[in-house]
Amino acid sequence: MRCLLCQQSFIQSLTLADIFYFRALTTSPICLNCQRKFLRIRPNLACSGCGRLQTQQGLCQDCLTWQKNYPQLLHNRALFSYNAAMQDFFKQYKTSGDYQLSTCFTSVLGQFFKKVSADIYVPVPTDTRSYQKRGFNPVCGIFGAVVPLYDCLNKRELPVKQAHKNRGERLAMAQPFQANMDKCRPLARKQIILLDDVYTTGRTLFHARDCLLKAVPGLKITTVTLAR
Amino acid sequence: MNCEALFGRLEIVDQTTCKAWRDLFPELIVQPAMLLTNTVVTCQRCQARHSKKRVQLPSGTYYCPTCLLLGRVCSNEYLVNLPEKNCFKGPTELTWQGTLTPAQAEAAEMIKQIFKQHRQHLLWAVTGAGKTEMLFPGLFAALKQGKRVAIASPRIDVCLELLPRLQQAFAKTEIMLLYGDQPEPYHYTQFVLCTTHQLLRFYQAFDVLVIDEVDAFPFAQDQQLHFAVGQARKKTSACLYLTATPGPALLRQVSKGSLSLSYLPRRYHGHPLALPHCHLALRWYQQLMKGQLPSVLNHLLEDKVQRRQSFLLFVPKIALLEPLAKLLGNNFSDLKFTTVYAADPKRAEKVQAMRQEKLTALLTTTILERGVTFKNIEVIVLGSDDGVFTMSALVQMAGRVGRHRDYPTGRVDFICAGYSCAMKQASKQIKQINKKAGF
Ligand SMILES: [Zn+2]
Ligand SMILES: [Zn+2]
Ligand SMILES: [Zn+2]
Repeated sequence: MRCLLCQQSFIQSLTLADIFYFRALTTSPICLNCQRKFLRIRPNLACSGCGRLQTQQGLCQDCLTWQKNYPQLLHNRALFSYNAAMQDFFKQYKTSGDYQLSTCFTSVLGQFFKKVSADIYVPVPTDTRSYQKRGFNPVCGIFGAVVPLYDCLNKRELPVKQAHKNRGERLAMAQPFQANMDKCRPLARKQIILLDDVYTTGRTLFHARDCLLKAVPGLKITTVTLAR
Repeated sequence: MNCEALFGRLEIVDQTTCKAWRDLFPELIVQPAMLLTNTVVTCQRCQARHSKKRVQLPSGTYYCPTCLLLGRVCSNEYLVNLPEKNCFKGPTELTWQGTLTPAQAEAAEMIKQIFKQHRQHLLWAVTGAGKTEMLFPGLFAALKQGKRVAIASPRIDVCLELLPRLQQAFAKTEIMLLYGDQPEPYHYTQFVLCTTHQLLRFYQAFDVLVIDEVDAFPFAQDQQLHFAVGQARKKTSACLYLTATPGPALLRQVSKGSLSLSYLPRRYHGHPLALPHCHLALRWYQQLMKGQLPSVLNHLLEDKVQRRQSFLLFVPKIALLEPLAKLLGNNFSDLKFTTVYAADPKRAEKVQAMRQEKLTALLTTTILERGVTFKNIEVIVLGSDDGVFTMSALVQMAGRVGRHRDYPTGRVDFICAGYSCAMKQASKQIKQINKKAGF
């Protein structure tokens, strides 16, 4: 088959176990060469607040700063480092709008959510205009085939694209999310995982969590992102 | 919206913009971006067909992944353009100082006539014939007549190599370079230099279209090239294909009579092409994997090192570069070399270092076979029987040798575990060309 990222044709290598358990059906649509360019973050080498790859134990500098306003951090788990390969991936997937790429990490995520699970998975929403323009929600594209998604947040349209903002502007950003109260009601006493594609400053995920907590106080919420 | 930017140029717009532009420009040519049938969508820009299921977005529309790099085409959008008006001002001057050999001058005159008479032609010019210079008189005449001109090549390296030479030759004319990731946005120019892929963004724009190194186009995509060329040139226009190794599709067009053909078998310095020496080394791959340098390769390398000869060592796979580099580093500690491959982020720097003779050798995959010239270079192809080395790739790699007037000869060696069809054809084509040149 043809690799979705580099267009080279490649042969999926199957182990005996793959054949035995029909695992081939969930193997990656990207070639080994491309897979190797992504840097997986192991939990024992990650910041316990934001999930970034680091050498020391405990919280990173950014998370220590967050902690002043948010004593309860996100405990984000990120699967991959936001390295050059991951940036290229998001450029083609989100900026160019290549929806096919949403399947690139399906099998890795499938393995991941066998170990990390919750009652309900809430994707970070996109606003209507971006959805119209892009034709899809990038977060739902990545996670939709792996876990059942529950839509209970809406996003207001913002005048300036987040990608064009600098770090300071992003951090000062006002709450962009609104909870759909009807849909939030069944969440009470459930274990929630909030899903996003990239953890950049953490602002978006803190907002999303605030919004959910305001709608249903006392919820247990952690977060998972594909990249950090 | 500036109307010039739409002359002969396809833009993708949604319904609202399309309507606004139609009010603004009554001449606007509008076509739906995709055609839908029950199960299949066809992209109207690149003609790729996809099953609806595979390319449907959650919003319900369809998109074309094939030409995504040119900006996404969606089924709820339109392709629009304005007819090419040839609105060019400003002086045209040929600022090129060089001279042509009599053979080149003859070919240059022929090219000028092809452009003038709006013909379709294939020029089979040997590697190192100096074909760019031969275009100058014809291009100059066309530009002076207010014609819109494009040079397209399948490979970005070829375009990047051509740009400074063209800029030097036509210093008063602005040349727009178009390729995949370029930072500069498109604007209207008389002279366009682009990758063949970019031709899909034009519609009946060019009076003169030159396709350089046409053989670099993957054979399987010939249809696509044909379509792109047909779209980008005006109905009455000249089209010149340049190649050192024409593939079967072009030769078929020649025999059908839709394309005329001429040869330029002689290099500008008058020396013949270097004929490859083939060495059989059945177990070269296994040896390499075991950490041994195949003895043929070792001999060849010793000879190069002794003569202080710089060289290119081609391998069929990126994965071979590292083990080979390690062996070379161990066995030839004085040799200054590095590895380079297509997606190498430092590729340009490394090639530059090689050109400036800071390096003696480059270990590389097939990417360097075209467009890149080094003054004094020899070539070894390891695994020349591998499927990635097509006949034209082999001819091109061999053609790196002897390009410069001061170093018109040099060795080409193929190391293989067996003789492939492509290798035989390559040797045959090189002999054939040398014979045509009178050697
Ligand atoms: Zn790949
Ligand atoms: Zn952190
Ligand atoms: Zn297309």
